[in-house]
Amino acid sequence: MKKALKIILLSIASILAIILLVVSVALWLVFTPERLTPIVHKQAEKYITCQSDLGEIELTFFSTFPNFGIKISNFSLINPVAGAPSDTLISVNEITGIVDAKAFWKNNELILIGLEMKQGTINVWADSTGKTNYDIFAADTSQVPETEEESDTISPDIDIRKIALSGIDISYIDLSLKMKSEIKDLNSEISGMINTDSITCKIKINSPAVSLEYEGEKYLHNTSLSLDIPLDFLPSRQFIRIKEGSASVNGLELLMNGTAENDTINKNIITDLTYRLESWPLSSIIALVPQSFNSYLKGIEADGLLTSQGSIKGIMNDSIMPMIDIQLEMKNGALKYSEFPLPLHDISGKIRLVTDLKTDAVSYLNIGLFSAKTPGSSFSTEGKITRLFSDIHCDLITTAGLNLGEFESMIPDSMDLKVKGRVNGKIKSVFSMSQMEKMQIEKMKLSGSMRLSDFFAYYDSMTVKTDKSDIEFALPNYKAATKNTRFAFAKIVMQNFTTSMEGSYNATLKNATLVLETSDARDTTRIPDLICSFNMDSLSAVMDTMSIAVSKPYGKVLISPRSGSPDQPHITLSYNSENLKTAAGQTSVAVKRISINTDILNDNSQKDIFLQWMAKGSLDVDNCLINMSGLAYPVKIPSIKMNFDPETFNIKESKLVIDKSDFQLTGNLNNILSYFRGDSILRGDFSFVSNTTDVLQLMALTNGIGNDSTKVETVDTVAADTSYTGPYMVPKNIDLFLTTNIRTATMGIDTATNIIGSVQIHDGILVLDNLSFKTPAAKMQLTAMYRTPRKNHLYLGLDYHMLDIEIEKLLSMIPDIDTLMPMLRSFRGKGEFHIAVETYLDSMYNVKKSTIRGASSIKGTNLVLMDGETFGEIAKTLKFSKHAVNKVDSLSAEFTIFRNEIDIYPFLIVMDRYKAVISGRHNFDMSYDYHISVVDCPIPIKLGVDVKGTEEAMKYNLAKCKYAEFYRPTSKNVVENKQIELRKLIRDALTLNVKQ
Amino acid sequence: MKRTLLYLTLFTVISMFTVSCEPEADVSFDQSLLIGKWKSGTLYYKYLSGGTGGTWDTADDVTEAEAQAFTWTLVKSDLTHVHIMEIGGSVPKVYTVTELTATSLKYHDDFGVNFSFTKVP
Repeated sequence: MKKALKIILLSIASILAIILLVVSVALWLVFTPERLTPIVHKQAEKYITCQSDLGEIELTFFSTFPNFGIKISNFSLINPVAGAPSDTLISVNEITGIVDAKAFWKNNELILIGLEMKQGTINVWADSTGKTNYDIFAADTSQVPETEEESDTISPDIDIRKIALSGIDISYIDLSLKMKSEIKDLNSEISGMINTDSITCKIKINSPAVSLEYEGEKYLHNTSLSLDIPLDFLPSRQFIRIKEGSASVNGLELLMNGTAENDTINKNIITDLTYRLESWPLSSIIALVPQSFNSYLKGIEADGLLTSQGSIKGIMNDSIMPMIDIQLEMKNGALKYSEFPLPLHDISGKIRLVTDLKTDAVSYLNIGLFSAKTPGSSFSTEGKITRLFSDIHCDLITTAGLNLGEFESMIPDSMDLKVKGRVNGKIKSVFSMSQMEKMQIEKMKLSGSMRLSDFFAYYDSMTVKTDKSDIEFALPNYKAATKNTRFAFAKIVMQNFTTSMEGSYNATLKNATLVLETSDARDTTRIPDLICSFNMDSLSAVMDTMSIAVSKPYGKVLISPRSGSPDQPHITLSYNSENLKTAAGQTSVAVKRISINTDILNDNSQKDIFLQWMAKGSLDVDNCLINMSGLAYPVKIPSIKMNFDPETFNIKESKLVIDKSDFQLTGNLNNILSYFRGDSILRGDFSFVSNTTDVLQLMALTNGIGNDSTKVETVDTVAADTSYTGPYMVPKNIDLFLTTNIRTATMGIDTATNIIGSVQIHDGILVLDNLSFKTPAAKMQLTAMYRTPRKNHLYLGLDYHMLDIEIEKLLSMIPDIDTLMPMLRSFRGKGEFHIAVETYLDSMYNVKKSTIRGASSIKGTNLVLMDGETFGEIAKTLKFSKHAVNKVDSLSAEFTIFRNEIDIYPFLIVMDRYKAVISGRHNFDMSYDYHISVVDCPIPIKLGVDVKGTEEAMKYNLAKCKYAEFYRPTSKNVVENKQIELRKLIRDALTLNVKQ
Repeated sequence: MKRTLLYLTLFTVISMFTVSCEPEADVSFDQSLLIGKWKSGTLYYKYLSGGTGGTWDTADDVTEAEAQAFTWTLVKSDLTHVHIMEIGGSVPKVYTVTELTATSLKYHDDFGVNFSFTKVP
């Protein structure tokens, strides 16, 4: 077997050797260049109209095995055309035509199946009229070959083994197309097979410098270009298949694969193509951008590696586009843009675009993860963008870590805005472009969280600072507490937050948490629903001389549209805090604990502010301390507890302590809403209880409040003061009742105990009703009335009773009585005093003298008269008995005040052996007219003395004894009886109201 | 003794002085003439038939409607006003009428202060 094989192989080798020998002999001896050259020359002249230069022509076999080739050296075609830059069309060092040996052998036909050119130039030129330098073929002879070519085209196979160019420079200028191209050192190789219904070929092109200019625009300039494209083409179907083809521009390699077919029957182009490119440097891509487009890239420096792959698959026609699937990946990107002050680096991302360029349902852009960094910041985003051809819909997650200080240079100087610090956050957003354009936030979905670190912002003298704040937000609010607050949610947690304005305020929050839920606040037809919960360790604020500091405030505010009136708010507030301290100037308030719960309804159709804001709820305050500049002592409020609603104000507990004084006020104020609506009388019933009240201290405490030194003015000046709003007018339709019970009231060294009575305001009248109390000097009772029928006509009435009072103390308590009855100065001892006086006042509280009315009664027994020395003088002068004592047995007097007249009704003074009746009149101008009737004395005569004038000019006149029988009932005359009757009338009326 | 005589003489003389004028003769006036409004400068008195009345002074910006109430009696020539206080109590004022006509009213008090009014519609 081995031997047979050996014999066969030796036979084949021998045959081949013989063939080679024959061919070599033919080449070197038969088809010598000398013989071939004239033949080719002759053929060239037959087909080519221009000058052709042919060097040596030789037949090749081994280099073109298994076909023969005709190699021409120094081949050139010279075709000078006016305007062409060169008269040479082709000039190559070597050109080889490969001849189909089979056709030559069988049919003696010279058919080229390959062409090789080496080292040369090709200049193709056409002028603007279409005249070219490559129109070099003879016209007549072309008719016959065309027929032959037609017959060739229908020949069953055309085998293009190789069309190769090597080291060829090509210049192509077409003035009619305004195109200019130059390809240098072109190496290309085209091979393939053409048969009746298919062309299979492989194209390889490589040039280190390709330039292309079209319409004056340089699209390529010395660009490296290479192509390696194997393809099949089916002409009948207009079908092309690229099999693992590649194209490279300046090293940017594009790999292609797939098919495309022109379905002429259905007028479709059917594609199934894929491509891939790997790590294209962005700088290289940008370098390919034509110069005229460089303006778009002005100031842009970009770098990075771009990788992409994709496919185009499907039918394309007038109404259908194929599915395009493009995947882009960027790595190590960098971008500098002169208009953007921050360079970007580490840009990376994966983007996938799937689309048929028409249908939303199948089209989307997927952003795998796109990220970039600035020197101090970074951000990334990922998500999906759909509905690309209608209303673009985005579903993105963006993460950012921003150094805000970096962006400060982007803020216009005119804004006077400075921002520093870091923001780290993640935002999830789902929205469409139409929603964005129309700002339909309610249809978007936005949520995320961010952290502000060492944040500082300054804008127009306002500063905001926080060392660490976390913000969470969500639109819509999926965890809404109510169905109406589903629009948005926000939670803000601040570790330290400070805001201030230069020369104005400064506020600080520590460890504060705010939780907000809201409805859409942009609807101006209704009040938004809002729920705000707050909780913080401390809050402090300072503004001018005012300050507030609160420890652990927490609470909740709920705002919602009022039922039936959505443009008006319904507010529910719950507030609690500890250690609230506030100050304004020298006034300060400190509260140990405060709790407010209130529900407020707004009705802005009402004119009255009270009716506009209807509130109900409760207030609970513990251990409040108030210091005011005008108060010598701090005001302590151990507790206040009250409930309130539009109709009722219920003070359950309120305690007040001012130094030694303490008060408690409890009670109800009813019909408040009805009163403001004009439907009812405001009714109040309060109880005022005090264990100790220091009257002088309270008077000192409140003295001057609301006044300053400039307010010590004359009446005229005050009248001119337009700020004076008039006297206090007792409100009408108000019925308030205040029951007072003061156990001990001190006034200097005096003490009043058991002060019991009531204060009433009743339909325009203010009454201190039967206020009774005890002092060491007396048991007292006071009724006072203040009525205000009109501003310039104010009624004031007093009904004052002092029982068992020391007269000396009476004068010290009410010095004006000394004016009314100067003789009282001469008495000491106990008596009783009653006075009722009333007058009208003008708007400045000046007394209208014509309206003064008053009546007083004073009564005493065993009164000590003057001091002992004076008594001695009188006793000596009037020769009192040796047993006479310094006492008046009894004194009972009445006097009245009418306008400017004070009438002292006759009263009897008994002393030792003397009895005198005194009466008279005192005027407010301090003039007087008294009569003294000595009705009993050691001498049995009646003596009268008139005393008239003023204190400076007093006159004594002896007169008839007017009251000789005044205190002798059996012999009183009519006048005296009348006087006694009037005195009784006065006294009875005065003592009518005295409580027993 | 001398001193006692001196006192005695003195009191005798004084007694002579003091025993002087007799009381004025009783004069009666028709109180119906008093009914109506009387004016003296800015001061007004209004007497009503039931023994009530009111007084006001326009100089103090008081109107007739704001008049302060009093009751009055006229017995012979004794005109008594009892001014009623709202706070409680009363202020009697007694005058002696010297003239009362349909248009004129004159009286004085015990301290010699004279009053003169004219009737106004």
